[in-house]
Amino acid sequence: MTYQQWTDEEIIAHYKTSQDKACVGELFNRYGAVVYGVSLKYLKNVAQSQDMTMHIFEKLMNLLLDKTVINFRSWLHVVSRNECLMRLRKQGKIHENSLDDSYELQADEDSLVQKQQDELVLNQLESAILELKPEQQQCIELFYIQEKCYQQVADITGFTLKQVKSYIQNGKRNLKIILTQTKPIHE
Amino acid sequence: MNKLNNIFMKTDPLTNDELERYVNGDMSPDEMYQAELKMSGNPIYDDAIDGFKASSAGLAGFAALQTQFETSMGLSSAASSSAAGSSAFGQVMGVCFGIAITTVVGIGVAHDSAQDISEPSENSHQVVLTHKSEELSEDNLLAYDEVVEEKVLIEAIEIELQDVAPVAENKTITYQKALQNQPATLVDDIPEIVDLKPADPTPITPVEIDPVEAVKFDKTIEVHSNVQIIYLHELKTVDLSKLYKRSIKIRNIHALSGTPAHSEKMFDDGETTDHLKPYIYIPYQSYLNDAMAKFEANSFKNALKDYKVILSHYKDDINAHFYGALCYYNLGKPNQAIAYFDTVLDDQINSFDQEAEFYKALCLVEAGEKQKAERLFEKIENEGLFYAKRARAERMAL
Repeated sequence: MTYQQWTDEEIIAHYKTSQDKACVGELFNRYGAVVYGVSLKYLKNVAQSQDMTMHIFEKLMNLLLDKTVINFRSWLHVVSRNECLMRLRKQGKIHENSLDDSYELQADEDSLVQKQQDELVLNQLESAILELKPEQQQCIELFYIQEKCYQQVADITGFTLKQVKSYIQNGKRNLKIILTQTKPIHE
Repeated sequence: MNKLNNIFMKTDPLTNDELERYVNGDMSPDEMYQAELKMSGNPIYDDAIDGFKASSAGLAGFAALQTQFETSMGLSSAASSSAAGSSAFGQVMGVCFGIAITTVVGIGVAHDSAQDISEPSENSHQVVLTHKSEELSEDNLLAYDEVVEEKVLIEAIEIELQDVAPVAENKTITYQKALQNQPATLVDDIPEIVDLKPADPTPITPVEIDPVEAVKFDKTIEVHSNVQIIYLHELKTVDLSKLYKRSIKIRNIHALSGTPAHSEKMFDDGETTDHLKPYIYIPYQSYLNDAMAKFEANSFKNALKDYKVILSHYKDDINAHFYGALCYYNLGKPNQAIAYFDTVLDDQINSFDQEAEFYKALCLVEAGEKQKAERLFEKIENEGLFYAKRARAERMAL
């Protein structure tokens, strides 16, 4: 059986019941390179990053049986970061406890995804965008509405790439805050 | 569909091929947008891309893991063949892994032994560059154990270039053209050492030029350099030999394959067994000199391989970035060339700034970014420096 057409959540749900290792194999196909890249960022060593990638996916085989994962990508990110940070701490390269569970915040975005099809929400989104700070509004509009890539947005606005990504990310977060605090119009 | 739907829409994951092309700067703006849309809201991609860009090996280091994982998990070969797919990245996984796990003889590497390395050409100026620190910062110098196997890099380049057509012959920046387009370079008289860390915000204080001397400096035919330069095969390079304490590490193909009988005498000094060691260490200047020899022979793919090996040791090396960019352009990868030229332009060393800007503009034309190219040519023209006339001619031809 191949799982190429399945969503991450479908694969995980099936793995919990079947324990078919090919499920984890498919997740490795999708995210192995990404996890390797994350490891490279923190460990800054090719051989250690290769080891870490293997270690994380081997660990997933047990974790996925026990954990309830809402957003796999976000969860995988936190797991990968934490494993890298634990390795660095063992090596004495960091001291503070940098572990976090911030992936839980992603659950709010999922509920927004469900609601988004509603024209009501789209109207609220249009108004919410107007409430953003000018830089965030500009970048959100250029990226999502005018479909410009980050570099194009940077060229148009004069912001650096880092600023563009930050304005878009913070703009999305502020939109989420505005939308979840907004009362539905029909109430 | 209302485009606002994209803001919180759940997206498919990036494929490995898309990831590789994005990291390598090998996408059109529309493709980049689609990839960034998939990545938006998924910080795992931000971290991964940071990791790949900080490592000169990029995705090459991942190549061996796919099959290794499936083998360790006891997954079927059917799964592995579906996973490999037809992307260039999938082929890297299949090819490079086979190379990585076996002790195979070197693949077309020209360096036979340290004894055979040619000396710098007669025209080189043996000028001295001093530096306040004995070692480069850790950011630039990779530990040897992190240096990606040379053959992995070379195979990755072969895969990268296999379906790409070189640039048209009349547009190729051959060795002769590079020489013709090379300005005379005056080295600023800097008594103090230069900090080469790109991130250092301390600006280099411009040297006051004697008004009498200023008359002699014609900015339309000469450029300044804030570090010492050395000519290898008559092409300008920044002299980093005094700064780089570690040599380039490559596999000793004689040790792997056994020394041919007719060559035994060459090593038979009865005192050393260097020829049996698995690795040999070649001084940076010698290795670069050989790379420049390949460039001189217009052997751009082979020269590029050498520049990539240098970058796997010194990821900010400006010589490898500049000449590597020219190779990428000639080999039909203008976007990758642009990325390298941008690195050169961001460097505090200004020895290649004017050349990099001009050649970047040529790359933009080749990449289909004519408006950007035109703006850059116009900027070069307005500055009235060495490439002004050339830039004007190129802009008029657009």
